[in-house]
Amino acid sequence: MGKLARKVAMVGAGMSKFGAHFPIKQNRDLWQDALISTINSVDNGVDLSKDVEELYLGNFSADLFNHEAHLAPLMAQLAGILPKPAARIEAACSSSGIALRYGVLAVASGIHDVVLVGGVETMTEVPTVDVTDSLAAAADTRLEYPAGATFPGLYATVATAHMHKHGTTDQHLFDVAIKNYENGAENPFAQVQNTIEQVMAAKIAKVKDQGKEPPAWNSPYDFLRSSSNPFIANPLRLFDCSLVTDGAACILLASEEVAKKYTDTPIWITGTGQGSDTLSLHDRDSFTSFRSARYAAETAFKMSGLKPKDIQIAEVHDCFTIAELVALEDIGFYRPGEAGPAVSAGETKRDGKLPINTSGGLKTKGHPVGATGTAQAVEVFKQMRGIAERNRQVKFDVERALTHNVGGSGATAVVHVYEK
Amino acid sequence: MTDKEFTIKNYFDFFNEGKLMGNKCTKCGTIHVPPKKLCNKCYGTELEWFEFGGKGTLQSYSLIGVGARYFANQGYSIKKPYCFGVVKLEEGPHISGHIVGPDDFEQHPDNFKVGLPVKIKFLTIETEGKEPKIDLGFEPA
Repeated sequence: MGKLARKVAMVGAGMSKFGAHFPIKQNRDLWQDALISTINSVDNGVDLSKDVEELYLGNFSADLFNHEAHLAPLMAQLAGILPKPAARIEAACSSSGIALRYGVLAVASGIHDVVLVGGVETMTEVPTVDVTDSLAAAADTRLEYPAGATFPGLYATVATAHMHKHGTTDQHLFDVAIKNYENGAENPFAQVQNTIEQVMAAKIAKVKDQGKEPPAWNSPYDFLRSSSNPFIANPLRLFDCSLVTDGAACILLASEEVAKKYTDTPIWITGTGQGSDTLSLHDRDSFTSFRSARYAAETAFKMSGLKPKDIQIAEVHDCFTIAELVALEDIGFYRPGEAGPAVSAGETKRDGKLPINTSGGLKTKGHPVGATGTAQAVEVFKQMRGIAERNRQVKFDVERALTHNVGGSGATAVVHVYEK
Repeated sequence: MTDKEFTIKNYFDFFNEGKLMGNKCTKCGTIHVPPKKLCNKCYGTELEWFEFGGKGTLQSYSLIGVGARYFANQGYSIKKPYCFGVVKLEEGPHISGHIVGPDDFEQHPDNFKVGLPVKIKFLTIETEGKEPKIDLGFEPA
């Protein structure tokens, strides 16, 4: 129980540029960008049509965003793998993290040697209010929605509780955002590639251009506490929230026997864990930690034989800044209440002792919800191979990494552990 | 009290009578809201309707500026936020509700704190061309 029956390797990983692409690029276009990127990442090349035995595709809600529902066969067609099986997996914002898990389990079981997993989401086809409402369908639409719940609102409720219980402050949240903007600025695939300082300077320049007195901001914190960063759902402000994004990502998995055909440097997925919690936030005993994520992390660690202290970098689900703090505590990197001070002390920056979200995270890389889980694995693939673009490659050899992907307000969570 | 089936529709229909109704397992005493057909604790299937007294405490909350369309339609906006809250009912279970108060109560963050005693206030939502809808709300006790 709880062990993979055989080893599973990540032998290719790629993604589209994340951004607001609609109508220039749509689900099928973004998926092909991710496919090309993945094919190019396989050292010895791959013929998907010959090798891939199944596709698991993460997608939250093309039904609501795009009036497209039956996406998996289309994406299998574009990958050239017909008549192989293909299935769409929905688990809110953890859809493709779960797709990755099913791919790992399929290879580990021995039923397949090569599996393609991916995720795609095009969110900007509908106006923002419809994005908010469509995302809210991942909460309890019967009980939470009529009470006013939105995703920013639910995570803000988590933040209120975290602040009350642990003394977490808005500065801790700002430091999560500032770090992730610094990282995203180094990621050519990110939706936003500016630091907070650059965002602030641009706003000051704009005001000056209009011939008005520029705001007296002496630091990013002054800017982040100003009316230029309004409350979306108190205590979360605009810059605490992830973005509305279009994008796709893709991973090629192979069994140990077959992996060497593709590469001499596979990345092994040695732990996979998934957990569930009540759909409604209100049904839980605690609002400051997600039982689903704790269970997923414990399961993945147990499977891999590793412990939180063994992990060198991680991509965690920062759909809101508070979510990054909750993630760091749920995985076990920090004790409850200690993540905020650790982030503010710089421990999770690229040059800190535990770099978190070197990709820029959901905050700046972007959050095309159904593609997020696999995009996290793409960053780990690059960091572990030492090929992360620009200046964001960490300065040490990454031998052990982790991804943490959450659906809804913690109703689903999935964690993977990677080793070289 | 009633032999109505333990369905989500019947749960909401009781709002029209000004009642928050859950159910209680006759075997282990667990109280559920909304009612369940299968006791979440002991799998018992003998349950009876249970009326909540309406008192509780605010466990956590957010003043939401960019809200759901349903709330935008009720006149809320980034300039006029509304309060979403999680309430622990004095009988034990938790439930989500719209937290309201007199005048512009919701627009003042200082009016809210974790632990605030609240009581149920059913809210009538008027939508043009539709029957009024009753939602679960709470106000300071």
